[in-house]
Amino acid sequence: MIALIRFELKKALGRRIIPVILLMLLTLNAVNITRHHNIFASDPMARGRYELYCTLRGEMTDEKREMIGENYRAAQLILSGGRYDTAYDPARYYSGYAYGDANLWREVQEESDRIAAYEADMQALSDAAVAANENPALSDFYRRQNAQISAAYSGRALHDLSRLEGAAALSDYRFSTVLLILMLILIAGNLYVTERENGMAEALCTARNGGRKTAAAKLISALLVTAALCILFSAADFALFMYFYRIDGLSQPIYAAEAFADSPLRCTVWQYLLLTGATKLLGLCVLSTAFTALSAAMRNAVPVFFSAVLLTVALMLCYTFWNTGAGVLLNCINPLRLLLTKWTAYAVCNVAEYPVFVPVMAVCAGTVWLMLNSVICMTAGRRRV
Amino acid sequence: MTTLTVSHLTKQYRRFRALDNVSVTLEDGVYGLLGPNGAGKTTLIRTVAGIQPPDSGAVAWNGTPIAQLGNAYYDNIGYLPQYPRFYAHFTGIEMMRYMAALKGGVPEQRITEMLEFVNLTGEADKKVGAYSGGMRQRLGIACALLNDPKLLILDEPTAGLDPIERIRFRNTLARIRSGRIILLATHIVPDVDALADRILLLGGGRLLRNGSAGALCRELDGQVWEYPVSAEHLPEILHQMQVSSVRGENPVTVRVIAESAPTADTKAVAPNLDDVFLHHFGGAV
Repeated sequence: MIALIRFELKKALGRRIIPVILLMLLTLNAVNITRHHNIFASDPMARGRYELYCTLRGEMTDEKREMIGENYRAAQLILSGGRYDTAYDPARYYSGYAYGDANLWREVQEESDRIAAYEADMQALSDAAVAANENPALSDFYRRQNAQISAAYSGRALHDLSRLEGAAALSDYRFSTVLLILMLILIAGNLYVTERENGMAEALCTARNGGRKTAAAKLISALLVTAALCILFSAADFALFMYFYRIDGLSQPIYAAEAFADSPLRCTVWQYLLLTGATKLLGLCVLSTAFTALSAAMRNAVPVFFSAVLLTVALMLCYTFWNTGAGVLLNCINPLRLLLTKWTAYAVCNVAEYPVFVPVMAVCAGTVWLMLNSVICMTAGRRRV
Repeated sequence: MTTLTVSHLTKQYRRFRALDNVSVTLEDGVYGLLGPNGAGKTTLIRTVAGIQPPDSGAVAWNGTPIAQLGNAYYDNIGYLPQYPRFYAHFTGIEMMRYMAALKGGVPEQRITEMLEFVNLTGEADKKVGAYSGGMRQRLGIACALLNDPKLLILDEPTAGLDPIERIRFRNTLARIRSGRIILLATHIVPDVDALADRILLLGGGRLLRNGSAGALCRELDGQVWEYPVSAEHLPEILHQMQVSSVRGENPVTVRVIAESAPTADTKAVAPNLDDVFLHHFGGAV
């Protein structure tokens, strides 16, 4: 079996065109990041923000709050007075401009206020949920939901000032996922078609291990290739964002990032990145097994390619437009949700009167899809020509 | 002695009947499956190889239906498909190792033996994409023989080969013919003439004849004629009669198939397999 898997991997990845395309896509991804997510390239505000946070990051002491307040008030005087130095002076100003720095200090003051108020805000939310449960007319679902909210948001506090926009930007970055899907269509979508195109389908059908074992080997190789490519692209994204955008605060709680303030998760930023990486991998495995099943069902590479693209586009359209009513529940089982889910807000589905987090539903559905696709691949692959 | 029994095989593709009640019993030896394009040769060998099930009828190996044997049947089969392209980025030895893994239980020594047998040892480390057509056929033979099969099925093995490669292929086949059933599907008459112990003549999905080359030719005794014709009359002869060969310039000597002598100066000649093929499948050519 190991030998069969090894040969399936060689069949899938050994064609000269594959490393060429992979290199092209990695380069395209790198160029995209350096052009649009490079704080040192063109946007003085992004660079200034980074340098200011490097100076201020760490525990929010009273002295730090006071210092921020003083700089903020000085900045407000500049903005309200309307008279300020317009010359570019990077030695004096973080952003290079007096007006830019004024906005930066305003941002830092708002963040400082948010940090100060966060614990009380979350406790108030938790207390409100507990108080709501005193209503005897409340349904079991809402009672459980309130208990869940209370558990998720009570006891939260923010102590440090961190620049978490790097991690948030990395979490929002989708371009490499699109390239990954394209790569998987080219590789997984060719696993069976290549046998027919190379005249090997009949040779497989007349060999002892050419049926079920070969189908299993193809399925396993598709999953291994998916995992390897996902790790490669994710590592490339992380490394490039770390270098060009700077990712700070990896050990901070995820809710320290403003975009994730309402997230029900209580993990750190690096744990969140790993979690979303794992769900993304599951979603990609669902897609790659679907592409493999299409390859088993069709005779030529071109219809497989177009069918795979159409399938992906259809899933994307469903994800985009089915966002009300029953569409929300249907989108929970859309495999693309695993690639796009962000855990930024409290969102649950009602499953037999139990509140289940939408991303959890997506993971369960993705696991079921993966098993179903695997069965289809094994069945279609075992079929004699 | 192994036996392959084909009983009343029928296979239909929509409105086209590819096999029509074909029955034959094969024992050790080389069988040439001869017929024109669309006769049902590939359908028959794919059914015998277990690649596709028939609509009706059965194939039995040593008396046991192959559907019951399952994987045990494939341990006895070596199959060379038509135009094997393999994987261009695999080397010859990698291709052999892959086939060995597919067949299961084939030692590494057998791989090197088979490469030596087909004279590909020197090219084993080259990519299959760089192989010539003849080299690919030899590699295909080596792959098919890896498990020392008792049933060797070859689908159009010499199609596209130059004369030297075809002769080399025939010599290779001659060395492995003993102790197994070899089913050679082809429309190239000289290959069958050179190799086959018995010929299965397949036309329109039906088994028309089953016999040695000599027996099939003897059926046409007294029906094959040669005579000279002028170049001006040649088109008329070609239109009206079954002409199996034309040689010379003016006059040309035509070889025709007819129940009686076409002209007074006609000479009866010994029939050959080309004549047999034309008689059963030709019509006016």
